[in-house]
Amino acid sequence: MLFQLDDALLALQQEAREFARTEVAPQAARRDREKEFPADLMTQVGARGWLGCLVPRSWGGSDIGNIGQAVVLEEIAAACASTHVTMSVHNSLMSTPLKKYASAELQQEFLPKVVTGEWLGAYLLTEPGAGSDAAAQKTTAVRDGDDWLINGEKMWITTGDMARVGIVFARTDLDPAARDAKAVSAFVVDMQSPGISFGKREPKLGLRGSTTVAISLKDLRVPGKNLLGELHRGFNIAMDLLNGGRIGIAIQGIGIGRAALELALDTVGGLKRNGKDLARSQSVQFRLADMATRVDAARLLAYRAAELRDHDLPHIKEASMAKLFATRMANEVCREVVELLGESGYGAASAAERLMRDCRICELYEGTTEIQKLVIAKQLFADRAAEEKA
Amino acid sequence: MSLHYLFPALNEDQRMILDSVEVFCAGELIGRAESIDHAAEIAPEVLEQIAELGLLAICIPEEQGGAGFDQASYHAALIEMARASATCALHVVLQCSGFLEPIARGGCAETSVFEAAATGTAMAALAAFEGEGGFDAAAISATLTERDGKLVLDGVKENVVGPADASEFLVFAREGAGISAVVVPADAAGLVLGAPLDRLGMRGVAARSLRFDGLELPMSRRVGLAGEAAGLLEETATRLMIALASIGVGIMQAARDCGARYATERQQFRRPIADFEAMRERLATAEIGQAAVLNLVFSAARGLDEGADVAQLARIAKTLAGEFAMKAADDVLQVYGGYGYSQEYPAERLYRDARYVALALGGDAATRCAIAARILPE
Repeated sequence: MLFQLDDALLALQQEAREFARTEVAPQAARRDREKEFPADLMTQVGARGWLGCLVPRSWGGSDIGNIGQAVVLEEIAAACASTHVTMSVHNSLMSTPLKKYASAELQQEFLPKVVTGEWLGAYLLTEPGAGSDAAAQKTTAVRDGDDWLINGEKMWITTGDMARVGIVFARTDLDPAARDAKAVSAFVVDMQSPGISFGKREPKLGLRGSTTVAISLKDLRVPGKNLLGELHRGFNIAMDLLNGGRIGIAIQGIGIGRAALELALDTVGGLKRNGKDLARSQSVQFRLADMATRVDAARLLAYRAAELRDHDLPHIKEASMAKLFATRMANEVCREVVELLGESGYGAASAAERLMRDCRICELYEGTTEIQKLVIAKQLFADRAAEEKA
Repeated sequence: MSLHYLFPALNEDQRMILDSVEVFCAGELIGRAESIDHAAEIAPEVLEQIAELGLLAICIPEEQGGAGFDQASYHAALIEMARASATCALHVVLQCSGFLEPIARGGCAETSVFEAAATGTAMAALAAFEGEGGFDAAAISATLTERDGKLVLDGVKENVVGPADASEFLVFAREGAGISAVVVPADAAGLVLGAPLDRLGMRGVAARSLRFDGLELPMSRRVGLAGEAAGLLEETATRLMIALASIGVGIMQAARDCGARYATERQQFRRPIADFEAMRERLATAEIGQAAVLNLVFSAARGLDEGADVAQLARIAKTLAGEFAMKAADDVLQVYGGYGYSQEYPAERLYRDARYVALALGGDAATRCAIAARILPE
């Protein structure tokens, strides 16, 4: 067990870092200010296979596994969180499920264009009343001949109005006695179908280059063949995908936290406080040391979860721990860096304030911090019960 | 909900001030907080109302041209105002504690400067900072010299926080071996005004730099005695710290107000999220922090009125306020879940504004070092 990237991953990291430095980072401040969606960048990363990190090369993916995906996406997140989340959602919640759960026919229809980024993906799980309680789906899908008719309201849909393909979750077992978690199915949906309408783009604290919309589904007709996985088992798919997605958001936190730390290192070199170089101040040094340690610790947690996922080993607890720790850490680091840089860090001319705004979402989506703790605690007791049985 | 239960010991004067501020905030200001933040400007009619309420010189003695209320009244008003709009409260603080109080205490022959700022017909800002030096007199390198019956000012001030259209600046500069203060009009020849910079929060006031190139002033624009304003600067820093702590209390109150309301309304897992212990713990932490800082603020305010040295208490109040206000805003944003990230709900504004309390006036580390310096043997 050597805690170090191998040569292939190091080369990948180098490639991603260079790409992020030259193509992504220079646009990040403008993207935030102008609320500009990274459409151009999606084509570029698609060409590198980074919109299908877990998809075989024969389909146009890069097949770099969960660790490789983490390595690439950390570099993107450190440069621009809006670009990162657009890529992360597309990978974890569209390319991966198509590869993992879709029929050969659906793969043929969607994967080639999804992997290049020509068709971007959206994940329609959350509803106005079903946020943390994701199983409480009100959207319904009812049979109509060979088709399904879907009706409901979705909310906080990342990339929603820019996506060509969506994975829509809807209740298919309408028996009120049915357990929520066993009553929901997933469908692959052409987002240009009639019956889909978009609300306005949500004005947000940060992540302003990523679009977030409410989506209304009215008599949306979906062919029977577009069912993803088994009937009534959509919630299992949702939970499995969220495990992967949580690693992705942990990585987003790690990228943003690292960027904040690097900004602090770059900036304090030239700053004086009360006539003293800030870089030589012990309180500054100790803060930086703490930040660097926490960023590294978070990355180790995320890599562990990613490696377990690569090996199809249980990783529910590990993914939640990575997300819990990394996202809380990242927000603390961003807040500390804004404070450390003082009035200048608080100004819009500094990247520090953007990092602090972008980062705050990490503790909210793909399961809030509270949900991660519930997942971890539940697993702790389950592990204990399993040990006692053995 | 009225704030009276938090201030059980207010006298009649103090209660009267708090009531009139409450009426203004609940009826007018709270509804405008979002647009002030969004436009990065406090609308002129809001500024007029703040001036009409008499808040700008509220705690300055009547014989010096103020309204003559005590410090507790001032801080009660600030807390109530920050609860509605932290940036408006900061505006009042910058006018009152950052400009009018030091001028009243130091004395200035040019009396029209005080009168204009006290009535709100002129906006003012304090220019003490240089680089990230905070309020340390030793870090000041701008210079003031007397030449041919005039005062000549040279140097640079960074991060001068105040109204974007401030027309007067209270500037601290080195004069000989000491520190002096002068009031500089924004249209003075030799003053280069940097552009107001957009900020993460507290967007109703702006930060900018000032450069003085051989700027000439009449002697009447001096505040206090030549070379003897170091004490005035320190006193100003102390008063600003207590005021920043009050703003922190107001932000915590706002966080607590909207967090409690939202937790009661929002249902998940078939019950209001206020039923969940994790949500209650977050709200309780906001209440605890608020009560702790509130008590420090009122101790310091009483001390000021009695002429006691409250510098250490001010540093402690400001430091705790910075920590707890950030925590409360963060906790309440989390209570809102995804809605906390939306600019259509108040949590994200509180989160951005709250960050300012800790970093203002030289930052947390510098304040903690000053706290330690006070308890170490000389």
